[in-house]
Amino acid sequence: MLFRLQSTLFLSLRRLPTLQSRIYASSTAPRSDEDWEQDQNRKDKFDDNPPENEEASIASMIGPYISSKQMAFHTDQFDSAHIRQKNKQAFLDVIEAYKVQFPNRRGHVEFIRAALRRMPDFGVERDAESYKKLLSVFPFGPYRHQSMLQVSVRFWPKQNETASAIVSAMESQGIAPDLEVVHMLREIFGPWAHPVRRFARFLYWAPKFMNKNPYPIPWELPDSERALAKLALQRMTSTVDMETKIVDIHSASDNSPDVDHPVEEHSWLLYTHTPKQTKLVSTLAKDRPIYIEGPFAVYLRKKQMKYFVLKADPTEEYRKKKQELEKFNTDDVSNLRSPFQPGATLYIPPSVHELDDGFILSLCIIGKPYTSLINCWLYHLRKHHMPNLSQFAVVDKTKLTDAKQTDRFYTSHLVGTPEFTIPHDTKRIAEAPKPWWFNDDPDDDKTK
Amino acid sequence: MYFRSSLRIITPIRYYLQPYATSRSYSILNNPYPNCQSLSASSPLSQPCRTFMFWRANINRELYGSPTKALATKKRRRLQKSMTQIIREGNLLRLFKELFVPEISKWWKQVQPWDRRHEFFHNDYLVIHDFSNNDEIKKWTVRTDLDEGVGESTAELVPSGHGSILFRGNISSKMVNQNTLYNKSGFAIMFSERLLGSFLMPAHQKGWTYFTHILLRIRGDGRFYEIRFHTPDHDHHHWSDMYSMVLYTRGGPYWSTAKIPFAQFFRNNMGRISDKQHPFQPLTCTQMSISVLDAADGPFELEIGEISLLRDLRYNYDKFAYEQYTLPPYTTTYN
Repeated sequence: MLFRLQSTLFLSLRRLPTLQSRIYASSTAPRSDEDWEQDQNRKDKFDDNPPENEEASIASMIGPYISSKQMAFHTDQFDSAHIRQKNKQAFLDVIEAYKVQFPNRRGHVEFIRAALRRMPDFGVERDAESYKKLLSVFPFGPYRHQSMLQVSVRFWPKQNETASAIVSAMESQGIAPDLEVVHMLREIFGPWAHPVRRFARFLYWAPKFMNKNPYPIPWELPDSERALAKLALQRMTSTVDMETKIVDIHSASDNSPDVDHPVEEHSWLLYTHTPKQTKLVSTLAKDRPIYIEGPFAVYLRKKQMKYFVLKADPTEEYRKKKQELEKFNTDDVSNLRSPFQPGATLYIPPSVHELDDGFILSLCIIGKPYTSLINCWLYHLRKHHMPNLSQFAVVDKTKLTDAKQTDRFYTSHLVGTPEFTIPHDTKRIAEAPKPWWFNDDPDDDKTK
Repeated sequence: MYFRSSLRIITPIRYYLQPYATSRSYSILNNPYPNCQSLSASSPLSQPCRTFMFWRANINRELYGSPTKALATKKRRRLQKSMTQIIREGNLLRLFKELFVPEISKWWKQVQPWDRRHEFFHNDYLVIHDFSNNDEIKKWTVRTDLDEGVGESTAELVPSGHGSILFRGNISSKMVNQNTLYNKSGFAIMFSERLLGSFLMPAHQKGWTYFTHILLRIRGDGRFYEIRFHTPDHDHHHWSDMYSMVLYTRGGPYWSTAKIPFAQFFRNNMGRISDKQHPFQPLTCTQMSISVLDAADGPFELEIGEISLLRDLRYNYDKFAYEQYTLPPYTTTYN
């Protein structure tokens, strides 16, 4: 006991900022989120390897080093047997229970920190009311600042920081700011305190960014994957081509029974289609194949969807057209010709779907990545929109396993080329030529 | 101990740089670090003094760029000859000629009047990063929270086969080590090269003055990215000052063009939006970066074809998109 007090006394007598200019990680300091949980059973960890040195045994007796910046918290009450189902009402009940048990709000800072960590378990992190209930745990009165000096000196640091943490959680979850929260914060901490200011900043900046998205997403996303997929496809294609139609296979009226078509409710298919793309297909050469590429990721806020693309290689005419377009100087008015003169040809620029790396013929999002569903997509396209598709060979370039995708991040296919390998900094610096104001390298084991 | 009002610098400062009056009463008794500069909000510092302090901090920052570079640089610097050694060899004049004269001439060129600039007209655009040339990648660096030791996000910058650049990786918001100065993890940033001026100080960006918009040709994945222009002022308070704006992407295989006016860039310090907002001056920008803004777990990919600046005179909405309020006194920016 005295051992712990001694360290704090020692620190308070020295001047901290000068000595703590470096943060040394101690062996007992918490290194990740798991170390902060005090309620785990530590017995299984210590049974296997009994501590041999003194330090480890002392550490196991005292517990992990708790720096003055962080706090330990117990989350026992959120796991109690009285809670039958973890929902919003249960969360609010736990807070009420705490208020009843400790009318003096003893240990309220740690309780609020624990509650903030446990919010995702109760599914309540996007709910403004639970945050307001958390704020009501603070006692009104003692933490109200009496002068600007107290604000500048950061009196009641833990309480202010915890309230700032609540506000920051609200900001990161994207909850709409409310004047009621401001009033509560003002009553608890006073009008000039930091949590109030932080929330005022949130109130000020949130409306500025709310309407800035040129490809807007609805504020409340629908729950079903199918509706989300439809939203994603709309977002990807509606601004590109206004004539895009999103087709849902299950809603199509004619379902021929001889197709290998999954009838289960959980698998669905949505794809996009434009009349321009039909025209493109009719102009393509029949001997070149069409590729299915994917799955590529699209994000709708934090939700990720995977989509597939039906693509064809760009043709020579397209490349020629692009080159001509680049040579053409739009600012040059010396050679103006009218399209109504005899012998004039109209220049039709390539459509939006013709890109440098391929002609895009259709996009689709699938409920579950089965190859049969992809065939379903092709069959539907062929039947309803592009009858020419049957004359093409379709090559499947999909990477259907997620593991393969993550492995690609550090293995670039250009690793072998010498011009693209930028050698590691240490090697580059060591091999950089040394000017005359450098001593000769004393290392003799390097062969020159 | 809980009240930190002044920053104490331990290294001794030369006599001519010491401020005129250290403290009113009993400086020997009160001053814990005699002969040392003690900084506070009210300490009288002249501009050359502030510039010197920024220069001291900046050479270390320039030389020890990243932790991996730092060790190699430290080892290399140990091999440098000391000043007395150079004088004994009789090479002092040579050192001045080879090291300092080019720096001074570079500095003089920077200070030269800059009114003789090329005029740009409406709808003129200047490509500042053309990624169809594969050498542009060498000017960019990527840093993630894995480098800082906070998290487990990975990222890489790779040339795609068709004339553009791919900034892709995986983001995870799991905090690996809470013993750092970061309170969140889950970020990946690509930095452009820093504009170097004379004497290892950042330079001013002179070529961007007549432009009003930044144009990016991108193919994103529906995530929110952030463009930042780093404007570290020659001051130790503002070394992390930047002007940033959210870059919205729609998913999909179609290219999109993001045209963002300079008037919509808001000021940011250490990643937090500043209270005092001013319009962005392209002259003060030294570095550009693009980062992933939402810490959503999962892979990300941003394909950039080109970054260019545009002069568009039809943007009549405002000179600056945010209000430039003056703050009441004693307002601190601690969040």
